Amino acid sequence: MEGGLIVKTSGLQEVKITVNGVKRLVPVKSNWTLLRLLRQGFGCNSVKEVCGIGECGTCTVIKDGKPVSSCIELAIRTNGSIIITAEGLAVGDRLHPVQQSFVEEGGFQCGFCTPGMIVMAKTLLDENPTPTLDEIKEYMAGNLCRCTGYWQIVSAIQKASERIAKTTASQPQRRNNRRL
Amino acid sequence: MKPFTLVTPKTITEASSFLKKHGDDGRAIAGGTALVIMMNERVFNPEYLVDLRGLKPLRYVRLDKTRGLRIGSLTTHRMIEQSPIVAKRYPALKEAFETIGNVRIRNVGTIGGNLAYAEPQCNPPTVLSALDAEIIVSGLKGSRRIQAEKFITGIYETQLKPSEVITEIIVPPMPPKGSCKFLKFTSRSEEDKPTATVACFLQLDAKGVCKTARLTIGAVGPVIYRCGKSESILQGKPLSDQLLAEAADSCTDSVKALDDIYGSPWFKLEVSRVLMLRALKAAWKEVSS
Repeated sequence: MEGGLIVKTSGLQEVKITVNGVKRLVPVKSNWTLLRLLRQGFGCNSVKEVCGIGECGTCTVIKDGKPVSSCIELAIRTNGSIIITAEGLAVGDRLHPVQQSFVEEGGFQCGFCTPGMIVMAKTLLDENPTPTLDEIKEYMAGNLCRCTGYWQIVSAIQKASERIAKTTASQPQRRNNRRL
Repeated sequence: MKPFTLVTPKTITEASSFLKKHGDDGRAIAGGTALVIMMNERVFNPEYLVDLRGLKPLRYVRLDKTRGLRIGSLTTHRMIEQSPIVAKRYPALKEAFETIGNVRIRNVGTIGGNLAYAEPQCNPPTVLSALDAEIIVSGLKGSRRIQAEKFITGIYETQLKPSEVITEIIVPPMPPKGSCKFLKFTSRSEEDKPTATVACFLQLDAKGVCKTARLTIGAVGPVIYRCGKSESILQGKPLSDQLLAEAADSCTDSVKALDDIYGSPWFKLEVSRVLMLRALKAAWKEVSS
């Protein structure tokens, strides 16, 4: 202890973290990234490392409601946070509207960037349910795809936006309940 | 990445005393968007990381009528970009912050962290220098103010002493008949590091004569450059297209550009000159309308 400071040892340190609704106390090493913890500790293989410097978007996860690059986030600093990865979006067999739209519009080819794209698109629609074309492009600019040429991804997000608008319009009561 | 020990101070004083004690072995971490990459690549291997993220009171954007805009050092780029106060009164600041990296980086990276990182290619130092902002740093002997343009002393080097932590950034009130513009040029993709960034602040008096001009150029060399000669060309004179062109032509006079993959020195200076002319014209148009 350093005069009231909590000095964590450089060995294993326990971190309390909620991943896709499951709350766990997991031991991590100081030099682990959140990406490594999610893949090795939670089996979330949708989270992938490509550039390792937060530029490409394949490691995107939702941390406390906001998209972040898990490759440059230290696992030891995520104590108490709530993480959602692409695995946590579907309810049973029912895909999330964003996932369903990606399937219908063919928003992927090799699929490597897809989990990051979907997670990013979900947070875009959470923040702004009816984005314009420019807003979609601006928000998704940090997610790279080398196959699709992006148009299918953009149209999938537009379709998901319409789909979410329809669902919320037909179920206003449920939406209010959820807010409470 | 090499293993390290994480320290989570509850107050700035605790953070300062720990940083002082460990000198070069310790380093403060805010968002970590730059530091974690450097540690991952083993360019920088601190033994102790002092986690500032827990200091929640340092996250704010406030407008103070007399002192101007006050931004807490742990405010994320995204918070500044989305702040209605910034959008309304300091559009150049919004422009500079919304073009940093991507949404994920802006969700995590902080203004204080960005300044302490001291990378001249980042947008904030250039625009904050043109706005005559002050950086408030706190150490064991109290706090002091540093002018934004003098804060960066070289690539990755600042005026910060080992025990000091940035706490606040203060941007003076935007005067009536005042305008600031920020422009940047990237030679490859939009989120790449820029070849040049320029910012200009113009203030006219009631007769339309230029009262204040502050012109800054970043990204081209190891520090942020202030264009003193161009400023003296503009100040005290009624503005005209010819005068703006004259000022832009000499804006790179005291700038030392580095040769790197973002451009040759000649190219960087030429881009700076063109951007500065565009920024000056835009600011003049706004301030005279």
